[in-house]
Amino acid sequence: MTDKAIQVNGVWKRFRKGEFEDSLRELVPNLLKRCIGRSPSRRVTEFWALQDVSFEIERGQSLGIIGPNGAGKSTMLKLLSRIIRPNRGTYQINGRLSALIEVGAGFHQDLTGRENIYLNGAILGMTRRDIKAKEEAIIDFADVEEFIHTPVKRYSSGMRARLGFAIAAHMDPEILLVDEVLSVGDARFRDKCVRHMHKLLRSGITVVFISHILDQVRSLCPQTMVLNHGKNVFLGKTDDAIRKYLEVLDTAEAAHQAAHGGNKPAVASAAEIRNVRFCDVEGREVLEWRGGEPGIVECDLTLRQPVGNPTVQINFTTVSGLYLTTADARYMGYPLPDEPGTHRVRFTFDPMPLPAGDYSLEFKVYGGDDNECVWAMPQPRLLSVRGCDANGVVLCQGRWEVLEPVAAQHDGERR
Amino acid sequence: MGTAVLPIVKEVVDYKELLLALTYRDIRVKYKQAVMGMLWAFFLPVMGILAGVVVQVGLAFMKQEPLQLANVVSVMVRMAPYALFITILSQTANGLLAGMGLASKIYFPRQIIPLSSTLSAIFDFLISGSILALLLLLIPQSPLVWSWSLLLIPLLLVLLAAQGLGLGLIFGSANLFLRDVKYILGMLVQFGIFFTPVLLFVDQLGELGQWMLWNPLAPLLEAIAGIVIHGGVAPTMWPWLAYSAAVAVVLMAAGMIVFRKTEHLFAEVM
Repeated sequence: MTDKAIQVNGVWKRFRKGEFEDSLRELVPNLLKRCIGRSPSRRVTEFWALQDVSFEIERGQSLGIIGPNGAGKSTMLKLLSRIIRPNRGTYQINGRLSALIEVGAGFHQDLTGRENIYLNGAILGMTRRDIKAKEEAIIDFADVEEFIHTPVKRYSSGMRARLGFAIAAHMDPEILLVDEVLSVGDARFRDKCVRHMHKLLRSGITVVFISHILDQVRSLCPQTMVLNHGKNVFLGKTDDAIRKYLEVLDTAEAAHQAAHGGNKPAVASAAEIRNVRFCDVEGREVLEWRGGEPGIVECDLTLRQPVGNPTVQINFTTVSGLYLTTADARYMGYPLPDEPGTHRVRFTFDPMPLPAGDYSLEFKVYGGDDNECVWAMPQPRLLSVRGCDANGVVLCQGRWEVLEPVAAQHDGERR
Repeated sequence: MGTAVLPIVKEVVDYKELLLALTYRDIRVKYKQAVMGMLWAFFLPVMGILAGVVVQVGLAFMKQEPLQLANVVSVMVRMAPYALFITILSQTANGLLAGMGLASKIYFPRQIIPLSSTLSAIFDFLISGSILALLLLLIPQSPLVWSWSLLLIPLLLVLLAAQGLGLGLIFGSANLFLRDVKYILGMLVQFGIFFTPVLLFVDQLGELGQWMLWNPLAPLLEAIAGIVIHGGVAPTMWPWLAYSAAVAVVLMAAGMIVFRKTEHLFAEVM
């Protein structure tokens, strides 16, 4: 019995894209053309969805996989779950595996919720007896008690997703592959799913987890792999992986800009922000803000012409896309000068209300009678905050005091 | 071949719950939805039998002879197995396309899909077959002849099912990669009955009937009708039955090989 749950050694996976014959109508003429020696009219290109990816997961560990769209994440999971085979390389799975690739994939629209529980359970590899034992728990988890005898086609998409997740979550796998499914349902149900995942993790199963919701990856997986263009570009601590991932996204965006933005007419906009610096209290440039200290942003605001009552806006969002707040100079009561020229602008976030994490800051310049957006930074700046772990999205800052002793009261007297 | 077949069978045994669940699903969906319920199972055979009766009445009229009950029974006895063949063929071929949506999302042994299609087709046949058997026992002056050769019928049905499944696997697999194969299959299903001795029998077609025996279904249907009505298989039919059995083995083997060779690509073409 090895202590590795999953071992992947240099797997490669190739897909075809482009036009290839997928009907006799196209195949037969092309075959004839080939017979008389003319090259058939087809253009098939091949691309590698996975290139030489290797990793191992210890039993009971969890691994996150993140990466831009098309990086090969889902291909990796499909490979691990035996849906597709690698062209090269080997992998080994030690344990009973189940995959949550698309919840409710096996639902049949005409069958009732209960019948679908049995069908889907069987597809996921459960025996009838297993399912019977868990039926109540599944219905309860999915919260579809009233509709359990209704055909699934009359379910709302949320109900369908909840039922699908509930079935899959109640199997007893030793290894669980999860692809993006924790984003189903409303916030309350998502929360329930994440808590359930934590419970599964505590029970000692191995989890491979794909998500674009970085906070979920952070909370579920200590280790994370970053895939980009089918290659494993980073494997290590999740915080470092997320930084690497954001870097990859930035590079991709810059490359995209270079490729597609190049032939735009270079009309200089009326305003521009450059030289964004994050500073500490002493004014030294830093890469990350320290929790509990003021956060300072400095930037150069260049006005090429008066725009009329200009203001700088900094929009704060978490890297997972949750909008937090906006720092707007004029709105906060600090009007900026409207003379053409370059002005050094400083914003001090005091107290800084952000807990440790990664944030994305979007810079914009507004101005004019209609308060239009004069200029927007093509891509947000990324910023880390360290040293103040807290739950939630807002750093809770304040004081607690014990005021004075309260005369002891016996519970019995009150009743 | 033996080494190739063993793992296929083992996987099916491991996933027998799924095989049963999918079969149950097919049956349940078919019978639940339709207002006619169980009528579905013999709707196709009954329509076929009525068509056969029309043909036989026409033939009797032209020959200036009365319609013989034995001929009507013969049509009935041929129609049920023929419907079994067509149902297996089309359900296997189409079920493969439908099942692949599932197979590209969840892993399970892919052979479960055609097997469950076949099982649900057999379920249909069991219903229509039992009704047919009941009719043969109950109608007055039934031409049914009791003989030991009746025991041969299950074996003939197995050969017929193997032909349907083998052909279904070939068409189904091809259809995943060449999307217009299903039109060819549709034509086979639609017009096949004219090239098979179901409505008209080999001995009613003279020279043409002899040619029709090359259709591997024909000897099986002729033999089944012969056993039920005449109490045995005509001696001239035995070589044809051997031919039919050989075709069944070849089709089944070819179907399995095609399926085995292409199944790992299924999830990628979807």
